[in-house]
Amino acid sequence: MDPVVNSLFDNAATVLGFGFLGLSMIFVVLGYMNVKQIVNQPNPNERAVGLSRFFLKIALVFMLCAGPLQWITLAIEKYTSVSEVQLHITMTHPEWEKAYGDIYLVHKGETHPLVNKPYRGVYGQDDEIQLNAEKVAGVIRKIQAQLTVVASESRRTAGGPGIFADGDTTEQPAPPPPVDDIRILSGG
Amino acid sequence: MKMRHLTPIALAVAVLSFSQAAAQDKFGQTVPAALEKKVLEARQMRLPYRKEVYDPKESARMLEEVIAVKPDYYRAHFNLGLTYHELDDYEKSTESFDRAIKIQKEQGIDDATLFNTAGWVSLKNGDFRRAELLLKRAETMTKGTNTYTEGAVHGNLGQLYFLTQRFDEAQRHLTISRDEFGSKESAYYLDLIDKTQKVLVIQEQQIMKRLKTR
Repeated sequence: MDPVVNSLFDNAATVLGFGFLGLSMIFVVLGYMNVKQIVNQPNPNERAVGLSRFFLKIALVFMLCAGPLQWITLAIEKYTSVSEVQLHITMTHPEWEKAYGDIYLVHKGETHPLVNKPYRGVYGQDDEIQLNAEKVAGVIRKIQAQLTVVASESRRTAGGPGIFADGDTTEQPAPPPPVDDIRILSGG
Repeated sequence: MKMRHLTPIALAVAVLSFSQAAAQDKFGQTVPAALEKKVLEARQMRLPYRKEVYDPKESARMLEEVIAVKPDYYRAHFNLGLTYHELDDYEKSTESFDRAIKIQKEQGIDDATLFNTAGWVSLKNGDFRRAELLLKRAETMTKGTNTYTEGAVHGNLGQLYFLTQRFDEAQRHLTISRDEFGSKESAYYLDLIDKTQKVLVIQEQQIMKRLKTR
């Protein structure tokens, strides 16, 4: 919707509340003008006096209604409208490795990549935002598993008992001598 | 100190007087014999298993002298990169390799071993991003050549992906290195990946168990 029209709706409660007071004022003015006319007449009739009384009664009704109506409209607005904020989110990490995986922000069913990519979004109250850190957690688990295996290997080659994933503690082949490294070093 | 400054001058004079002895080296560059001899001596001095002559500091000094006389000497820069790696100076090592890469490009030297070696040095120093770029380049250059370097590139890429937790890619390269080039190191890493994956299965089972009990 057009922002100008939106702003009109945004201020509907205020306009409505002050509108009743405005109507009340109009009826007071009408009543006053009518009384002024009657006073200038040599023989004022009963109908003209009744009209002034009617104007003032209506003014009184609008005046009494304005306060509670303002109050009700404000309460309705509070319960029905959603306060929104605009947020800029990014995860700056220039050395982010491909292996760590992408981090996504999930909002209203849509995914937005975050690492080194700024994302601008409008969020309402109680909106749920999820971060997909699963791949990073997976990488951390892999590192933990690697450390378990490598530590077990180094204990075994150092003479201590090595414990593997399957609980196998029997004799395992020792790491080979770094022949490939020696050959690469010999290049050039 | 003065002697050190005089050495490149003496070397330059020797090069000029023996310029007739210039010949093509291992990489096809025309190099004076005196310079090539000095590079070969320096090369022996940086090899850790040549204990009787091992002196990487002296090796670096000699190679710097050669480069001062012939700045576009590819083999000297290549060896200097490895010498600085031996001296644990990764920054200077990469500078030397980068200069060698530049010379290779400018003079059209056909040599994939440089990329494999420079990638391996980056891998050993934990610079995985640079290592991947260089090793991928070496992979393209050696594809289908059936040389030792082709096997070494696959082995190095396999190790790189193992260290960066990309096990599928690691297994692919290590299997090629083991099955087609008989690398025992690759077989060892494949065994490590297998064991790591077993630990991962146990981890996942434990996580699932914990989630169910919640």
